[in-house]
Amino acid sequence: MWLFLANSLSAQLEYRANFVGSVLASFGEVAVGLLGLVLFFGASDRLGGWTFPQAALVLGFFMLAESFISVLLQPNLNRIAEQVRLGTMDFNLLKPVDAQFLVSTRQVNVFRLSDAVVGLLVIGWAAPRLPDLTWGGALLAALLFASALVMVYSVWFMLSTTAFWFVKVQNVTELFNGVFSAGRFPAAAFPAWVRTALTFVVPVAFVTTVPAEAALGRLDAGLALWSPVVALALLAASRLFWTFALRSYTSASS
Amino acid sequence: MTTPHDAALRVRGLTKHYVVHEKEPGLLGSLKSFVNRRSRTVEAVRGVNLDLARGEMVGFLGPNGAGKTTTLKMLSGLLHPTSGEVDVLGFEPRRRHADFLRSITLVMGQKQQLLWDLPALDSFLVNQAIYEIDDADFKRTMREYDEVLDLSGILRKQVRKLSLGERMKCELAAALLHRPRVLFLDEPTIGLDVNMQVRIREFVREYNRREDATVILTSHYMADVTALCERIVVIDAGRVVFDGDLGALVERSSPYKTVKLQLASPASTERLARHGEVVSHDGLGVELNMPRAEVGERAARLLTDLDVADLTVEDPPIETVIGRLFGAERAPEHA
Amino acid sequence: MRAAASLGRKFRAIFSAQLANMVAYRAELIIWMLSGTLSFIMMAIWISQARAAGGEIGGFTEARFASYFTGTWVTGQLLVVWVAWELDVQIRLGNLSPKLLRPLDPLWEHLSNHLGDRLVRAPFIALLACLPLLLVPGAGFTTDPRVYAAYLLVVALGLLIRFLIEYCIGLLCFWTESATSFSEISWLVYAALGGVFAPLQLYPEALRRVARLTPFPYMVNLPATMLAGDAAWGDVGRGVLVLLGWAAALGTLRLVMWRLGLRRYGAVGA
Repeated sequence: MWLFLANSLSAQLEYRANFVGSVLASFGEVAVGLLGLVLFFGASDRLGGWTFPQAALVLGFFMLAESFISVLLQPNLNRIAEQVRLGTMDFNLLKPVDAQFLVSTRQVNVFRLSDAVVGLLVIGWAAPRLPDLTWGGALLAALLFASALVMVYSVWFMLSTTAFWFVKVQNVTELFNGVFSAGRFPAAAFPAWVRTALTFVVPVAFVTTVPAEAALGRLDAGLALWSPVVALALLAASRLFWTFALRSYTSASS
Repeated sequence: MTTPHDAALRVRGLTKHYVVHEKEPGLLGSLKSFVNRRSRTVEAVRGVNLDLARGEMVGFLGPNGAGKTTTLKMLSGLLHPTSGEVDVLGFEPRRRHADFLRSITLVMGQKQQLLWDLPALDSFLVNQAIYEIDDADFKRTMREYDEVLDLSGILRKQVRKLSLGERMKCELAAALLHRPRVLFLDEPTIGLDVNMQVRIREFVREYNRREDATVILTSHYMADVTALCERIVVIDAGRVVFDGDLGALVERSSPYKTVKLQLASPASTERLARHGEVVSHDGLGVELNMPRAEVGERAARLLTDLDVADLTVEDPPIETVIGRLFGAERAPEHA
Repeated sequence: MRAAASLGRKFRAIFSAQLANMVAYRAELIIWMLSGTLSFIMMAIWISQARAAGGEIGGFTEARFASYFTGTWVTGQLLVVWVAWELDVQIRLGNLSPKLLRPLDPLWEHLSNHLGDRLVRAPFIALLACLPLLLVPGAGFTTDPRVYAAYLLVVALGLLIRFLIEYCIGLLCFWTESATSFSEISWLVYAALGGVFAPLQLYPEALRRVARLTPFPYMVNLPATMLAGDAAWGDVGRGVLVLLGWAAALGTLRLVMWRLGLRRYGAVGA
């Protein structure tokens, strides 16, 4: 595992410009969210009932999730498509390690840890400005965020698994990013029907809004319980989908 | 002899140096070079001289990394020489003058220029417009190329659905649509099966004959070179180590001929060794190397000494010759 | 004159090939279109905010927000440019080499590729734009044909500027290993200062002043406002002049970078 990390890290250090670019991109990402907040709060003092620091907390969680995706998920899962196309996927299937684990953990894009740093900065700025924040709430938020990351992984993994059928899977992940970017803002800021869709159709609200609500002690118990249930269901689904994909892949290719 | 008017290409003292970044292996090395880059100069081409007459076909041979492709890229204008002079058809290639570009073509077997998701014909039409070929010429050229390459069935298929060989035929035809006078072919047959290699070779030979075009070819397949080119330029470590015809190359770098014997009755290896260097001795089949100049005399002696059923004299395979050439030429540098 | 006619002929041929190319990519194209959600996210939140504030914010009603953001989405779709990515790949993998040996600047092929995309994209844009306009009561685009004619001019100039900016970013690859992250930043700046997040009137004064120093407000805010039927002709005229100036400056910059870059490409390897 360490060897994988070291190898992919040294490959990336070759690209100094990319490093600068990644840091800039992280600030860009957070700037999008902050600019939105500045504009919304310039026009009114609440965003769907949330104050500025509360909404900033959501943005912080969003940046952490983005970091998780860019550092751990994207580089590995985009490679699935490449490996299917080049036929090198077979090597993974022959190794004595679980193939799903193997294709999910091969590479990291360390530069995008900058997303996480920026996210922590935002949370660090917001936390002292939140009178409702409790240690218990923070702990629950951390747990719910962990469960959210499981969801994000599962959904990403399923999208990447479609590579066995559609080779150009990058497009599907583009679509994911398009929907996921709604998570920058509290779900309550959206009209009711959009909010419902963001909670139950695509679980974006679970990733950023729900942990923030937990930290603020305003989460209703139902959603707190739903989060791990949804996460486990998605994880199981991703596993089933993967084995199904592998079956059709190994029986189709020669 | 060639007059200046017949010259297609003239190269003097061509050199190319690259600066490459170096990095120690491992993570620590990466971190070091991230902060502080060290670079090193690589001399890819060192003082190449070359003259080509109109209509001449020349094969570039040499090991990987010898500087063949770098030279080709400088001749076509993609790379700027570090020093030296290049004149192709009266142009300085690096300026990439439009008239120059209309008179040359570069085909790289590893790179494709056809539009991937469209039928090949679309790429031909684009080239027709870019090279300003009028419709009559276009039709005539397409007819001609179709005869040799048999394109008609594949032009309307999407490029990505073509086989490698079909694609290469289209690449070549597209690259020659404007009837260039100088052709740079870098590994044009790489990865193709033997039939297709022969097909492509025939096409190039035919084009050369019809258009009196000058061709420079690099290839891994010795057969490409031996079939097309009388003149060989061997490049090694950035220098021209041989420039002359194929026969002379074999003679110079291989002072031996191989004599294959079929004996009628067995003979000991010691006895055979008196006639030449024993390459193989397997029952009644024997291969001997003999100095080129003495083959006639020695063979006569051998026939009286041994009970020979059959005897043939051959040049060693060209691969062996080239291999030996590189070994020999490189040796002094290490010594 | 002859040179221009010959360039026109060449461009037509490349364009028709690239149009066919984009038709082959239509499925991806729709997915790319659907991924550009920022305008819709902003629209949804602003509408919701307007409702919470009792019907309007800074003079913008729900309907006006819907019209404006549909306008920014349509305009944004017409200004999509990926040439920096393409150049990045072509320069790094050396695929640019064969193109350099043809007697035509590769810029024309890249440009025709984008224009072909726009032609294929147009009907889908029109179709999707109808959705929010029909769903939000009172929302709608102008019916004045003169505005649409002027809109096309403004958007064409906007596209040219986006294209040239991204082209220059892509050319950075001659000097750095990769330029694509700079392209992401450039998009963010363009979207932020152009008015994708809110109508520019709602921006803080300081930010608005910065935005006016760039061409971006005239590339997004202006055309979106035109579609929504809120633009004054004086603003349109001024916008066209500003855009022309920027296009000329960026065109020069790209030419200089192209020349210098090719020299470098020729020097370090192809």
